[in-house]
Amino acid sequence: MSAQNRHRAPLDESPIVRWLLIGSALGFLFLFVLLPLLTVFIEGLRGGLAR
Amino acid sequence: MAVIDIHAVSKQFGSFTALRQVNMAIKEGELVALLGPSGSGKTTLLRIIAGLEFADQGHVSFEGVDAATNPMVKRRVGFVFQHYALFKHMSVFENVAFGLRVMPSGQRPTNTDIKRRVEELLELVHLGNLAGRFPTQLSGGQRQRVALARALAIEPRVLLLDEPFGALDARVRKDLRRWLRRLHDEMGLTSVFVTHDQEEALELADRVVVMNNGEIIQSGTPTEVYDTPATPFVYEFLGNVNRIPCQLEGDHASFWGQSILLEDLPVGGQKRTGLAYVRPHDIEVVDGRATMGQPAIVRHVSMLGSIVRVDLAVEGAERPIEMELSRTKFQQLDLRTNSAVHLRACQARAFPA
Amino acid sequence: MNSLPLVSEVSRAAVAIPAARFSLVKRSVLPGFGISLGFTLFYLGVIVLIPLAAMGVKASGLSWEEFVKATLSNRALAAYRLSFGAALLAAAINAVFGLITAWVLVRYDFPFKRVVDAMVDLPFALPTAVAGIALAAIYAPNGWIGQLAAPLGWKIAFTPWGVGVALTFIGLPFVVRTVQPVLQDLSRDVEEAAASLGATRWQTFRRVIMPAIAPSLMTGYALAFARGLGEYGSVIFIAGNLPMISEIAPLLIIGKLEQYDYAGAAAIGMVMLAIAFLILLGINLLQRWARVRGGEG
Repeated sequence: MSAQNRHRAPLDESPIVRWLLIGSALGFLFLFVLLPLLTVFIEGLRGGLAR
Repeated sequence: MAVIDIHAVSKQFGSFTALRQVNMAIKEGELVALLGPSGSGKTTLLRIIAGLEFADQGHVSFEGVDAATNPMVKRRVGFVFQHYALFKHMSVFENVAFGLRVMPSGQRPTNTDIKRRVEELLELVHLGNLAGRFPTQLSGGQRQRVALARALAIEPRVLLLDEPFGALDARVRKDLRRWLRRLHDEMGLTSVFVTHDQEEALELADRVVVMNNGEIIQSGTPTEVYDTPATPFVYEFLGNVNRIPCQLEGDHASFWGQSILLEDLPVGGQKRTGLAYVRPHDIEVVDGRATMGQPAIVRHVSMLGSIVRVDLAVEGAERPIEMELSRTKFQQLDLRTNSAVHLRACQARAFPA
Repeated sequence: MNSLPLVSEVSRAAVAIPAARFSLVKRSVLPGFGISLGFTLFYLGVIVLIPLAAMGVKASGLSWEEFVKATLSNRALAAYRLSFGAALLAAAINAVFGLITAWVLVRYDFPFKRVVDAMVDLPFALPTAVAGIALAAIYAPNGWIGQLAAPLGWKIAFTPWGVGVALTFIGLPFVVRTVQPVLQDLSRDVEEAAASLGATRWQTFRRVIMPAIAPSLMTGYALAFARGLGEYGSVIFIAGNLPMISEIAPLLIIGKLEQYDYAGAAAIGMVMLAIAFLILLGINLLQRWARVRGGEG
């Protein structure tokens, strides 16, 4: 509700900090969870398609 | 000069309108009560003054400076939360010291100064011997005083309190109220507190601001709002009141064989029905043998300590009439259940129904 | 929807056991205390203590010299160092990024937030061997990430770094799932109070929020560490398993078992258990200290 407000509520971090945090969380999950998962799928499908 | 100026402030939460076009000025040294039922917008208004919330429209200024350009950190506003919001993992001492410890390094007092200042504040709230305790080890009243000391540590210009006595029992509440009033006067604070308890507002405040549905209904001294309520809502919200059907004509209202002058509410020439509002203590028993006044039968008598409340049945009225009188007066009149009396209102206001 | 039952069960049990042990001395007013304590001890005995005792019995078949030789050989020492070092490092990485992830999931809105939230639990669902192979493929010198690191002279897979990567993957859900509910329950008015007293956002975080979530963060750290220490399946595919360099202690134990050296395997197991117990005890004490105070620091 306060996101589109012209003022920043005292409990909100600045947008830079917020996106930095979201970015590092998503980057971490991408590197350690999503990427291995994608590899599993790609390797699995490649074996199936090659045959 | 007004310390805080609130101009045409509106606030919306989703589809709920918390405040609409609220205007208010708070003068230096005033103790103001924001009084209203829950959902009336009083807490939202307090939070906007504090800077915890921002108005959708309108603006708030502190000593002429627009608060939008003045973040909460710089407003020097002390806020006391309804549930105290103490830092659980910190001792009482550290709770009070918090506001001093987080100051920018240039302004921050030395450790010895912090210690002295915190000890002074704890002395002020009579908690000098509990500095080492943790919040969970304190009673409700003690926690409230810690919250106050913590808010005072930053030497606020304005002290804001959200339902400060809401969670306390009656006895502690009464003591704390008096103590807060003294503190406010001695420290020369400007204070605003939110309450839904009319007794609290009337006893404590210099000025009572009655709110309902996001609007200010009436603002005035306790005497003004109590004796001359602006609307039926204010009448009913500030204490008990009897509603008596009456006839309005010209600038007069008549009921019970009496006629009262409608001061600021002329209703025009034609005759119409209305309701007269009479406080229980404004009803009198007319001398027994007189025939004037409204006949009534005593139904029930309750002894409420220093006063006596009498419920009376009046012909044609579905609800009993409540009357309050002093014990001495009650004994003089010698009222008993089922005795017949004649009533009269010594003060009343009427509104169109 | 956001807290994995397994994790909270584990952490609750970890908290409950010491408390039960200490109150044994006093007579309790709790109804059914005797029965529940008896059940807890029985359960703990069957699941944990008896297998551990059996390991002790096996290891006691060794003479003192044989025990020292099995447990303090250079190869064993290198394996301990790697196992504990990698587990502690991976848990630390998880503590930092797990805290950030929990924070982001609780406090902010962004696209696909639900999907991201669900993704956190995947390391528990994937068979560890599959995870190991996938991670090895990504972080190998010709893998997606590996080829980015290779020109910098940094080899990840088939080195001790690979062990760290695998253990980070394995322990990832713990910190997120222990911190998330605590963060969710944190009442906002305490933060508002800090702000009204002039604290900056960072000061509020460090002095008010952090002390409140520190115990759960440490629980998550301890769980991730313990999980990583025992991890075998994923590590052997990415570590390269060179003795003295990238061989973890559990692999050393498997090696001994394959040579029917049960006593030697048990002896190394005992040493790991003892060190792990000391570390977990340390974390526990730190946690208690953090619970009591921690405002100042």
